[in-house]
Amino acid sequence: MSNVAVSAAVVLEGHLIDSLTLAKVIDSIQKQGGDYITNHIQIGGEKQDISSASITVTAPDDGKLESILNELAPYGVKTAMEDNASTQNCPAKGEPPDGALAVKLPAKVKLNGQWVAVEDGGTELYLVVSNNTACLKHHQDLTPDDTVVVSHSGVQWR
Amino acid sequence: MSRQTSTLFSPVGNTPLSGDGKPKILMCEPKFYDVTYAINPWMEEAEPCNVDMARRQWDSLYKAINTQTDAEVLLLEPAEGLPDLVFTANAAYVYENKAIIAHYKYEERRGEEPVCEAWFKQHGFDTITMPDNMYFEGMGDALTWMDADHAPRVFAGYKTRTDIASHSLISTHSGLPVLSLELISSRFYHIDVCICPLADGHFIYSPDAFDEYGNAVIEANIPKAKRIPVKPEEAARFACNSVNINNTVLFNQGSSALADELKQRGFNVIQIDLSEFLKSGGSSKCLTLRVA
Repeated sequence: MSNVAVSAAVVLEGHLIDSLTLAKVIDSIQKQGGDYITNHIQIGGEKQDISSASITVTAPDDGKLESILNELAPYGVKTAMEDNASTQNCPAKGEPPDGALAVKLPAKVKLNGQWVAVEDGGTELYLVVSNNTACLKHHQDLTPDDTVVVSHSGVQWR
Repeated sequence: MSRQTSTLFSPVGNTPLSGDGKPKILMCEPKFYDVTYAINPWMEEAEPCNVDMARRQWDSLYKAINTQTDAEVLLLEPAEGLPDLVFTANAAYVYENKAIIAHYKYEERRGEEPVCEAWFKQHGFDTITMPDNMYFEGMGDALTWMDADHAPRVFAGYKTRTDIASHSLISTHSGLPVLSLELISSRFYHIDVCICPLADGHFIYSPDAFDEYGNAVIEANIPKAKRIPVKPEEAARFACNSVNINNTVLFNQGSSALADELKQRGFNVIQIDLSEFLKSGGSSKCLTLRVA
């Protein structure tokens, strides 16, 4: 989309995939003349698990952006800036809390017909916060002293 | 999650329900029922309610459930000033021993919340309440059904009365997967006037009550042979607002096509004139809440 002037990071959660809620939200943005960038999607492992997504909505001007966000509100979409990030402590070493945001790193890359292991790959990174600072930690480095972000709210991706 | 079969309710209340295996249906006598405000299009258009006729119609439904099905009807005490308390379906979402209490969108109905919460507590349910800023209208907007693997799941409606955010709480507290369906018509403002899951996977629904996404979700989850789409004119007679107890389906009179279809599928059909309750936008399902 050209001439994009404004944007807003938004989050939504729920049964986004089976209910087609995420598809509906994305279609709605585009039908109204906006566009979107997917920042992160975390899909629940079991049918009863909640999924969540962070996307950045872009629009030609503030009025259009506000209109789009108003249309999206009934689908549970809210701006990522409304709330602080939710956090929980790790229950055990190497064990993130339920719902922890995870960035999965690729494990291998195929080069000239051969799978090559990625250095530091094949693991997951988690957002660990402490005393108003935040950093990323590998899955295996988590300890019970670590406080981990478990929400898309309060997280900016770009 | 495994279903409890022997002890249905935890013995923490004053009078826990017996786990005798009989379906239990909660109803509320229409002692104070009337159309005294308008919070949906049916109420806005309604002629004055004949409360004596409403009483007779309610009695017919009560009697039919008590005598022509295997269910036992339990009664919620009516309360003056709460005319819609008669629509017990909206009181809570009930699964096993948990009752997620409604938090109504309209102020007119919020007085029902503590009355219903007290009933559930007294009968041994664990009660869960919604945050103040989250609306949820009980089993008017959340219906349990069995998928092809006989696993319980939930269809939940949103936008008109219930907030979609409440669906995550239903899932968290029940442990069940929830499919969220947007309700696109103000006339079909609760999901229980748009769909009715039946025994053996049969499924009454009004395709016009959903957009293409909602219909796609239904079609992806309910096999075509099990789907029973109702005509718009019968949906307007609240054909989807049916009560299913084992092999019997009860609904408002005037939906002959649905009645014929259900009979062909082996159901016993009971049609009852509930016209005085249609003036409030409710019918047989709205007047009942299955609590066991």
